[in-house]
Amino acid sequence: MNVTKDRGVTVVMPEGPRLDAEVAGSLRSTLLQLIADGDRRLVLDLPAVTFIDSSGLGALVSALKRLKQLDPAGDIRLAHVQPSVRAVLEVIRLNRVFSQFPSIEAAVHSFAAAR
Amino acid sequence: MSNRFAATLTVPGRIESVRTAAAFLVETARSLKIDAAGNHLFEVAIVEAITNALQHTPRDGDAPLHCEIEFADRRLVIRVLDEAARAPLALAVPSGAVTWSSGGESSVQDVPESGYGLYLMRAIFPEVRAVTRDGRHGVELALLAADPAAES
Repeated sequence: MNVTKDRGVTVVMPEGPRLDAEVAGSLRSTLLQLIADGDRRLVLDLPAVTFIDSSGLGALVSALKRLKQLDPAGDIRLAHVQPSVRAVLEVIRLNRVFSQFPSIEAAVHSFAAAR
Repeated sequence: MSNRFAATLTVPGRIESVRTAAAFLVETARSLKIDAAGNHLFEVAIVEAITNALQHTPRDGDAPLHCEIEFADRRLVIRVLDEAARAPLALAVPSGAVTWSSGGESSVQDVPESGYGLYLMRAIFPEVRAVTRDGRHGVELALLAADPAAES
């Protein structure tokens, strides 16, 4: 996972094209550690991710629930969501839970706009 | 194309085998020109079936998974049988769409962290069931492929 900071927002970018059972544990650990360290505004940047399954979704939901427990105003937002990933989010209706943005800029700006 | 087709891939029963097994099943279905196999969710459904078998059975070593694909009379059947499974899988197959958010705004805390696999299987395969064959337990997915004659 590549983790960077942009104007107070933590941007996490998985390196491979798949968020499946092989990498879900790593994703979950990374997100939970960032949350434990105090990060409250996170963007998951997914330009290269073309596959997500229930394991990957579970990691996202687990991290979001933990974040909301600690800070209801915190959020995990998605950027550069590919159509194949969006289709899975829509089947599970998680598109109602995770806001999606076409760029990092837009995702970061959305946090500033919500202040 | 032959009217009947069957193939099996046996892999070690561990999570690192999922991608290989899924690729075999998906590519075989595509080679059979199954229309649904062109849908991205087809691969997701296959991965869920394999992962489901692995994650719902206590594992002792690398007891193998047998990944079977059969096609006859437009009916595609995919079966994942787990030699580690000592009893039939208990699958609570949903009959409809995800319902946790159907009542309007839901708290994030209401959103489950697991249990999505069966919904993803059902998104492509009308038939999802636990199965036992030759003493091996697992999951079976089935669909009826589009009739090429009806499309022309």
